[in-house]
Amino acid sequence: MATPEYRVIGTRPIRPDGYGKVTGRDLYGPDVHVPGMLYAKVLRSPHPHARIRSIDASKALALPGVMAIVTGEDLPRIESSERISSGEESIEVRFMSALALAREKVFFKGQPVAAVAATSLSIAKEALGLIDVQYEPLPFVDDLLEAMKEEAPVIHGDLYTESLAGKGSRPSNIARHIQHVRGDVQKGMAEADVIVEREFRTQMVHQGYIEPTNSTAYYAPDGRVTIWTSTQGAWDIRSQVATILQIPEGDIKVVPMEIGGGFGGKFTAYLDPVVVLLSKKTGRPVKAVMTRSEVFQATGPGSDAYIRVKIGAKRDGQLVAAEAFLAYDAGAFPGSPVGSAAITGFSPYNIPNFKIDGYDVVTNRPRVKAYRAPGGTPIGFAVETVLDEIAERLEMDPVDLRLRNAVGPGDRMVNGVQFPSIGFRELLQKVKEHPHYSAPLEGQWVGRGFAAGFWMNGAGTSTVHLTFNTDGTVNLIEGSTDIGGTRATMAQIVAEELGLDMHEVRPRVGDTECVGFNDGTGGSRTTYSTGVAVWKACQAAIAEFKRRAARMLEADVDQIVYERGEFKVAGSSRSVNVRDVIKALDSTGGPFEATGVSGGLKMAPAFGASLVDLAVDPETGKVTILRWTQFQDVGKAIHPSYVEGQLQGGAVQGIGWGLFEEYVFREGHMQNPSFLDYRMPTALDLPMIDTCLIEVPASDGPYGVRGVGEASIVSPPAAIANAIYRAVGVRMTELPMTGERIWRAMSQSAQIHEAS
Amino acid sequence: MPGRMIVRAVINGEEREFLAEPRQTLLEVLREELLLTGTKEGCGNGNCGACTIIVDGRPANACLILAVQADGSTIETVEGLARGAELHPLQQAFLEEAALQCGICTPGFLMAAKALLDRNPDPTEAEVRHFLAGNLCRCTGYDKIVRAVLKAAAMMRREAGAPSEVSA
Amino acid sequence: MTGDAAVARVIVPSMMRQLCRGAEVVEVEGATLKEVIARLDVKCPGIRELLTENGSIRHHVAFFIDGVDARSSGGLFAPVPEGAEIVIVPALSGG
Repeated sequence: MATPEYRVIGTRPIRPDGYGKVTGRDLYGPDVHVPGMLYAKVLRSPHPHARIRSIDASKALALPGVMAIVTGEDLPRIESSERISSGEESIEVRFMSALALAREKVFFKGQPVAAVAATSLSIAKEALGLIDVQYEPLPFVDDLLEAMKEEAPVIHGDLYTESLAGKGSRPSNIARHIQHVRGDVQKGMAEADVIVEREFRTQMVHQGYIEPTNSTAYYAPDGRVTIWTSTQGAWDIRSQVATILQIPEGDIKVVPMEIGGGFGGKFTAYLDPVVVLLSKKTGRPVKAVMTRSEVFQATGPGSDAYIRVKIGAKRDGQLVAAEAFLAYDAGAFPGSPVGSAAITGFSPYNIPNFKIDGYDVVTNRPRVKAYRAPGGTPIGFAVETVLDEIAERLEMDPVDLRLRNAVGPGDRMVNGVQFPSIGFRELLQKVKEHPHYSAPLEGQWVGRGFAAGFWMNGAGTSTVHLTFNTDGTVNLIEGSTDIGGTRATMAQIVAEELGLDMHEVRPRVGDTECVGFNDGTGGSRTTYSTGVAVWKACQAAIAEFKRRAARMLEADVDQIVYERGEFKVAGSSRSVNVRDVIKALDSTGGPFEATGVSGGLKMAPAFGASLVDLAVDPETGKVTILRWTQFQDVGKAIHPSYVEGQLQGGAVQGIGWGLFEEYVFREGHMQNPSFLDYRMPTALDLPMIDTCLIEVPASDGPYGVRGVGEASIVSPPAAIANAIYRAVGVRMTELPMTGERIWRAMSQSAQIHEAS
Repeated sequence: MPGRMIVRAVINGEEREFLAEPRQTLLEVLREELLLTGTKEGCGNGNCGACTIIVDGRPANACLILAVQADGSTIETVEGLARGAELHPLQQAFLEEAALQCGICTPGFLMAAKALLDRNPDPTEAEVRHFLAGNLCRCTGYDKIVRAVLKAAAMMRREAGAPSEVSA
Repeated sequence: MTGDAAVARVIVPSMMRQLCRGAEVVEVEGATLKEVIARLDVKCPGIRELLTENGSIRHHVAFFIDGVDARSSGGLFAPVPEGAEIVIVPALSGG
């Protein structure tokens, strides 16, 4: 099937905001300087669980340079269980409010208790030490499995287990129970020729965005609020601040600054309500920037999990039954991504019988947030290593095992929703054909591993506007914060549809007052959903331009044909170029603006896979990655460099999750809240990350585009574990697979072999 | 607490004089006093390289230098890389190779890479990775950054090795 | 009130099947999701209470109408085309 030729789609233009980025001129949140600005610092709980007996800020207020102090008592009291959206999830407002400032109780070490605004950062820091807070420590539980036990302290006396069957009757640390059942799993297991069952444990991790969470706010005398902030969702921040502070939404303008990474973690107004309150009290703009230690302990990390997976297969490789038990840590308030996790592991495969139980569990840890394919990486690790073991027992190629069972369009996800157009089988074929798959790999302690990954991807709503300049150029005003190059990609769509060159399209990310509503940038929805909005705006523009061209060409509008930037009178050689139409707008009818809104879209799921060659040092267990290829079905790569970048970035985050990163908790305290001890991958840990883009068009997106940002983080840990098995003969079931853990596993395995 | 002290330094070729408290880092003063916000803070304790600048020809984390220590030194920040509208080959290569996504680590990488190429104009991939190991990037996985540095090195070697123009 | 009501296939999640006497698929009429839920409650008594609260979809529940999340096409007022497939699922994130 021939694919149409595109002029701009599929090319690699320099991003429109590139110059601002490489010269350091573009402004991120911490770069904001507003005249009269004060600096804020936050006082945080040293206890994982405690009652706040009293707060005495008098000495701090007396310090010269301190202008105001706020505590949870300055927030409107919210008792109801009303909920609010925060990126891809929703959370009770009272919990959201407690994440800005605690009231009466603290539920994790690092929870905000008070905040100071002062004329300098140094004075603000000094003032923190002068605020006297009296706590009554309470019994705490900082471990997921401990929290699930009968005898564990119940963290929230009003929390009952919710499920589709109703609500539990006793307060519990289990906030939610999710279940998916198909067929008869006992019967299915009885028919299996091979069954593998394993338990897995993964640790809490952080998105690791290099720019710390920050916010600057100004509360004007007329009650209008301006917030300059680092966020993936300006409208989320606006509604959260409005709800927490009980201010009309229309009085708040959120200006999303350039953002230094988010990965799902920047949808929550941690600092924004605090700086707004301080600004209201002082009458001056107030800026707050978290330290790295605060980011680790007081924003939203990715969940740790305990997972049991059991899969049964017939000798010919057909999967007949699967069971999974998932427990995901939510941290201090309900809301782990166990729901998404419950769908992710098995959905790539047609399994006639399964039973999946997922549990959302609270602990006295920071309340978790989405982290790129939220919930997907731990379950992906579990399922893809069990499948690898099944393939080995069946003496079957691991990719063939996936192919034997791969879902296609029309098959159903675990929750029963039908897959639209997807490219899993095509992807698996590409893996088998790839040179990496059959390249020779020699050495005693080396191994090659494969794992597949899946992410359902979001859709949501986006609004964009196109306005036109008298020099023939076009402004694209969107509301999707650019976290990975979407500004460039959206501009490419406009250039393609309107027959312009890239430099003639000026994309801009607007604030909440200058463009219509947009769901946040995340969930792999932006290129897809904002792309649809942009495409629609272009069609609206073309329709109007036809009318204008008709006037310019003195023809009937029905005679005008549009093709690649030219408006022609059908059956003649008379035509006018789009640039001339734009330049003449004023005289052909007046200024014109085109709007595009997306919504009601089907999902555009993505399938990915990782292939890795690695070596293990037998004396230290240290893993060296020798070669990595990341595969993904991307629908259509509008800007291949940025699509490759998403695959590479996600894969490396997955590598970090798999090999190095973890929150070390002791006595309710994180022991390693710094980049020194929370070990993220560096350039020295990695080879080049090769990518292979497969393009199976999605059902609804322009040019068949589908979301790309997340699937690449799901497969890496399993691929690494499978390679380690082939290198040194041990199956790792815990993340991260540090040198120490691998070495211990090798030693234990050696002992077993000696003993037998 | 002693009051603010006068610090004199050459920053991006320009002689500057500014005030700093003894407890302020060079990073804080660059960003908050001089409003040179191109240099970014990622961690404040020397573990991410986002604040990499060049001081007296050597790459350094500005968060680990007290502002008053910079008295009498020559400092290069990302704002001084381009010559007017003409980008430095590293900046150009980063754009062409799409070596940035969110861009927050980019200034630090540009300065660290410049320091590398200043002392080693023809590094291998391994040497590039080793020299840049102190700069964290969370978005790109480093692949395109390493390619951009190698490309810039090649561009600069070509420029340097090009025969001098013969005027007509 | 409504015109010709369309017949939709509702796929019932495991935890709710006992309310539908074990049925995995239930056919009901309704031009909007709200109507479908009302008629579903007749065949599966008590199910409406689990699906809606105070006139909106419960936060931990989601409906996919022919593959599109109903929340993005009008919530309870989302139109239900003739022959549509409606899947009731736990909402895809932490509540």
